[in-house]
Amino acid sequence: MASQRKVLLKVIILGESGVGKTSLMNQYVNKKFSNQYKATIGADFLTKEVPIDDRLVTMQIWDTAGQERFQSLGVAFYRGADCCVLVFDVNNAKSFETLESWRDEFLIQASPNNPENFPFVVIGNKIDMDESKRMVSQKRAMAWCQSKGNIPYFETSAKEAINVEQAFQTIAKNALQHEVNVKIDFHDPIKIDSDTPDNNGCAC
Amino acid sequence: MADMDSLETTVFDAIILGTGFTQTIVAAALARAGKTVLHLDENDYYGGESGAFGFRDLVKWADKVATPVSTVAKADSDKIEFDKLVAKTYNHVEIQLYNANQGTIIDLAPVIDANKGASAEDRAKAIEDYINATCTPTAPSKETNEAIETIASWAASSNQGATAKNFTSVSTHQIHALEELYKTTRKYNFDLSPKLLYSRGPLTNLLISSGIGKYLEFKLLERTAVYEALTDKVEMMPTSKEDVFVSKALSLKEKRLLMKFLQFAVDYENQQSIWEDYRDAPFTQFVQSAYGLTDKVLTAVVYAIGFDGNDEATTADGLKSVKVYLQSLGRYGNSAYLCPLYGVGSELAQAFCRVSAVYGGIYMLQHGLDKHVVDKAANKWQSVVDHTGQTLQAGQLICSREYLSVDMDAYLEARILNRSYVSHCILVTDRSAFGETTLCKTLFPMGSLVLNPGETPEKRNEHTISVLQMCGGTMSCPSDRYILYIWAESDTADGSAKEELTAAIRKLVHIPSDSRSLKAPASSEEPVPESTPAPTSETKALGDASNEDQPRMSLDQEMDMEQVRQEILKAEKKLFEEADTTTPIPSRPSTPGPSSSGSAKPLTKMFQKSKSSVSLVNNGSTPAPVALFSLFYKRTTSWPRVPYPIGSEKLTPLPSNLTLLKPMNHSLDFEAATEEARAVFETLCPGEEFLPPTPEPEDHAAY
Repeated sequence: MASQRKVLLKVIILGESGVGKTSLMNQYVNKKFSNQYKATIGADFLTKEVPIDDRLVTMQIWDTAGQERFQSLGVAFYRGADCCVLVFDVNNAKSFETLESWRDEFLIQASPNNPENFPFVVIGNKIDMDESKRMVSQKRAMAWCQSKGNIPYFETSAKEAINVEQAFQTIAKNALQHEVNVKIDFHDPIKIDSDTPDNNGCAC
Repeated sequence: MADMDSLETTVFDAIILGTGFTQTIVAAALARAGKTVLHLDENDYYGGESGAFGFRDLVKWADKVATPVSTVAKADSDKIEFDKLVAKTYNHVEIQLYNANQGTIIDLAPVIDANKGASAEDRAKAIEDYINATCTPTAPSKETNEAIETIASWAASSNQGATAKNFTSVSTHQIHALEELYKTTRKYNFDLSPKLLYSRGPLTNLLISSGIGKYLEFKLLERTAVYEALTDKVEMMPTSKEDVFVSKALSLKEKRLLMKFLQFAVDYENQQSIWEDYRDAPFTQFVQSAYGLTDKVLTAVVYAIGFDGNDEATTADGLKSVKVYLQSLGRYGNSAYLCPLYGVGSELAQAFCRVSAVYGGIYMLQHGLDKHVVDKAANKWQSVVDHTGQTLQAGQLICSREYLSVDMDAYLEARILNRSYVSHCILVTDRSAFGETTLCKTLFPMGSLVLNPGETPEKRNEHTISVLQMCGGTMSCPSDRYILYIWAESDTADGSAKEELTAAIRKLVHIPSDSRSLKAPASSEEPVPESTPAPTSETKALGDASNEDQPRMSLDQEMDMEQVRQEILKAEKKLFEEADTTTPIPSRPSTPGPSSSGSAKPLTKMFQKSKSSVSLVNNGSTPAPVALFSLFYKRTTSWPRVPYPIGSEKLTPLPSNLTLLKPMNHSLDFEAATEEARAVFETLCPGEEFLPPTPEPEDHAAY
């Protein structure tokens, strides 16, 4: 039955350049971190098998590949996303202020069927830095998330691996929830057997 | 950090201007080979001339390219005049919003006249107010207002912009139609230069081998139809071996000849003696004389199977196309063509750009450019200056024509001897023009249509007209709409796209107020659900397969076709045995095909998907689709042919480190552009591998 089919979740990570999108992915999937900042090169997407409520799902986490730097992400990047992660740097006020436009951009480009309920997760990264450098308070970030329909909010450090696992657990869970709903919307019940491999256009 | 400052201090290996299909492959290949790439586009979308748009953006695009760009009389010779060159590329741009003689007609002529002296903007405002006052829409939505505003602006500038000339009246029906299009704008992905991929052609193979195919999703083209002038019918063609067997319209003799030809074509390179004498002769001539194929079979071979867009195909060209076609059959199903979802060229361009970005390519869309800096003494391009005054430098410049400076463009222009164009039409209809078949290609062979019926001298289509119907399943339109892309090569700038393509459109759809087009469906108010008389299990299966729920295909889902091949071989054997015992057979359309005479069971099952092959389209059993909206345009593809004309060497030659890429051609596939990109890469990076496989993401060094 449907619940046994292979589930692939597409997660995209958005946010200003340098907030640590690639580092977060790398920390979560590869448990690796490098201090050396290099504008993203070589990162396409990372995949990880995640157990959610007795199910094993494959999460595909898509990096912007640096195309966000000059607002040049094409519409193809956004397609079919099951969850959108918005990342900012808690030590950089501007990176927080642009979250709104990243969210809008996502909703326009991906144009999900049900924009009000599309799962976003917000991550405030780089909490390992000195408290004196902090520019965006937790309160301010949480207030914004609340105003956008209670977006889950996590404060993380990709460097120290703080809260990264927890954030991605929520991402996976919400993505799965979305994926299941969308599939129900789209699936014509008459074609319930269309998941069988011989339905690819050949009846042999 | 990655900001603008560092760009100015970097000397890139290559700057690429424009994200058209060919540029993007070059960008991906260069970045993949470790070169530093800065890729800019003046547009805010990927794809350039292969861009894909929602409805709103399509209208905006049309208006933009239709509006002449005012420029400085004598521009600096190094200046880049992108908008001007783009506008020059597109001519005869015309939007039509069809009026199905419904609703109340609002005459706009009096308001237009009364505001003749006013500015276009004021005139538009007056017309808008007038429409609003006349039809007083109840509970107008945002889109109602947008529709009225658009119509007012069209009417206000009746002889300018993209709208049909003399737009002097509008019906409430048209307003509703436009409102509906705006409401569903994002469900559309209109493709400016639609094409298909051969399932086993060089581009598809490259997408698979390089790993770039993982970004794309496809549908299989279902059928190919060809218009036959003699019968004035658009007929489905037998386009696979299975089709040939089940075809009821072909005699056994014809089937045998066709099969014999196809078997030869698969291996034509090794049988040079058969076709060597015809190498440079027209393909048609070879097929006719060497294989004695009858007209019907000839049409199938030359158009449905061997036609890739080139009317002047030689035997060598034609055989090459037939072979790619035959190789492509069966790879992903009973069709040779793949069609990417969400618009064709734009999706491919984005996939290649993503690879380029993953390997360090820097992307800047919507980036205005000012001028080129060229070291004239050394004949070397040095840098491009953008709209902010920033100088961007690289060792190589790769671009399409629209990005040339005034000087460079003049040089190119002087070398063009033969003009060439592609006439395009994008048409939205309310139902399929091919009944249950929703993703379908149709060809109107050159000379088969009269473009000016009733007039003398008679004008016929000088080039084959290609039609591609897309459906909701390709994610290019809402599920209750269909897009017909109609295009043809053209040799002259004079004839409009509309004049050159309408004859073909008439054979497929009902065009309101065009009595030569198909008849309007009985009740055009309420589109009747497709009511084919007693659908057989065959047509049912086909219809199901074409639904939106058909599993999409990724390139890694190649099917095991071995069983199919075995079945084909068996059937072939059977066919030949039968043919041998029954020859000669007069051409009898009712001759039962072998499929009905008890072939092996799996085979019968396999054939169920291929609808009885040569069947009439629009034989009256299904109502004709109604044209709702169309956009016509003619795109310049003129390009110099060597040797260059005498005298033009007086102009400053193009810099030695500039690679100029050709405009997208009119062919059905991307193979010429793919080949061009490969050649450019091999010139710039001799000895390096062209788009080698990308390692698995996990293999990338983390940092």
